[in-house]
Amino acid sequence: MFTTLGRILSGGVKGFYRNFTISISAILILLISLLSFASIYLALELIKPSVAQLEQKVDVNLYFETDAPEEKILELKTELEAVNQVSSVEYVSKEAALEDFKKRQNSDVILAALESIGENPLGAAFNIKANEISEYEAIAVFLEGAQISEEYSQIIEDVNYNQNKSAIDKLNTIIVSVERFGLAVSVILAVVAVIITYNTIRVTIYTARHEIKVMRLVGASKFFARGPFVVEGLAYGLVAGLLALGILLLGLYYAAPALQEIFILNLYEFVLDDIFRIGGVLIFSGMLLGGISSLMAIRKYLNI
Amino acid sequence: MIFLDGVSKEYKKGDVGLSDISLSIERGEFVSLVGQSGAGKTTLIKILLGEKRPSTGAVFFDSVDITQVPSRKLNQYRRKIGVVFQDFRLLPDKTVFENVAFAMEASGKKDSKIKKDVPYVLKLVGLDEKLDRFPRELSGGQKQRVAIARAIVNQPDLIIADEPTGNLDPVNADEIIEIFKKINKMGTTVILTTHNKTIVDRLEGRVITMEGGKVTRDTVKGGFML
Repeated sequence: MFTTLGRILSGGVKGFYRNFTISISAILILLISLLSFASIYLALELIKPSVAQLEQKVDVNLYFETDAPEEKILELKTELEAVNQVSSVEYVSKEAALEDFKKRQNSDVILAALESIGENPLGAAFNIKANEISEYEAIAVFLEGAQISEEYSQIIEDVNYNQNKSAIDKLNTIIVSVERFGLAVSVILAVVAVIITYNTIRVTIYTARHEIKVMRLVGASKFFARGPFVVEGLAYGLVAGLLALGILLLGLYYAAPALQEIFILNLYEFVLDDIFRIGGVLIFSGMLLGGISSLMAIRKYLNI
Repeated sequence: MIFLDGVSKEYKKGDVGLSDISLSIERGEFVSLVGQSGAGKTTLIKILLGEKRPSTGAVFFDSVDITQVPSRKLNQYRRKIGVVFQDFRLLPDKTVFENVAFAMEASGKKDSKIKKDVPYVLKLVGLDEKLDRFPRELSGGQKQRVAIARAIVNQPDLIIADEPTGNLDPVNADEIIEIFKKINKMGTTVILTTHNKTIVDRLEGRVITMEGGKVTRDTVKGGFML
């Protein structure tokens, strides 16, 4: 058994380098397929932090009346925090709000006007963040409930969800469409890559169809005749996977700084940090594509 | 050794390849199969090799009906047969040594035996100097010798040669026939198809003549007649 496997392996490796031009064209096609997969994957990874950052900027603010008692406010905070969709509630007290306001205004007139009022005209506020951008709706429903409740209607001045609603909805739509589009493109590309790779390997097997027949006629079992071609297919995948990884790293090494300025992620470091997984997936998918294509393409020539 | 029982082959469009052929070939015979193109010689050879299945009839090799052997097990049967083609059919990406060794590797022979036997048979056919050449670097006659070496290296019971001299000049053709005669003298059954009258006449062996898919003459010690 080991002798047979050894012979198949050596036959495949010899076929690989003795048919160099055919091997090169099969490798190139596989390489293009693998690079397309990798690009889509990395593009999706690249926009992830930017989307996350945008999501971070979204919140719902709840403004209290200036005379709202603090214990009531804290009571509502506890209740809000118990709501499933809420990820955090930041409490900005009256005093903090004033400090903040003063810091942002450098106009003397406004500061003087503030001085002349004599008391703090600002109310406390909550900055509420949801776990997911789609969950603000649920929080808004809860807040609307609180706004008209007996307990809190007196202290709540305003909730700004409705002003933010269209922005939040738009962002939500964009994120969902980007994800769907990415997924659709990856699926289409994957199908195209598989078909093209299969066809290329089919052509390489087609050129060897007489050989396969001769192998069978001089007494080779199907396994023994097929083996070297599958090994060749796997070798195409291995080489294409390694090349894809190399090209990716080289390309990202130069492109990453520019990309990082627009998006937040440094793709070169991202790939480097995860090189075993990304490299492994590239090589494994290359070998899988090459091996299975060979296996399928050779089938009909073996049946004699 | 070989017994064909009412073998017919019809093709899809209704063309008749073979019609009701019955014949037997004994161990150690040297049989020439002659006939014009389209007479059915090659179809008969393909059926003997299991490359094609007859539409009706049975083909016995020893006591096994090979028409009933499933395709995945045919290789076991083919290892008992050495086959030589008009167009040589060497594996283009393998050297002379590897081409001959392939038949042994395929039947699971040990490396040590391969290393010993391959140079030996290549010496028999006069090619022991060209072990590392590729088929493209050889002449037609040399290619055919490699093919013969591949056919005999597993010491088969039967050699089937389909027009082995068809692509060769007369001198090379004669030499190839001499090799087959030698192989036959060592006890191997040989079935040879040919167009070549001189060859058949010189062999002075059994001649089976085919015409239109039928056997029209079968003479134990005959010459070429059409």
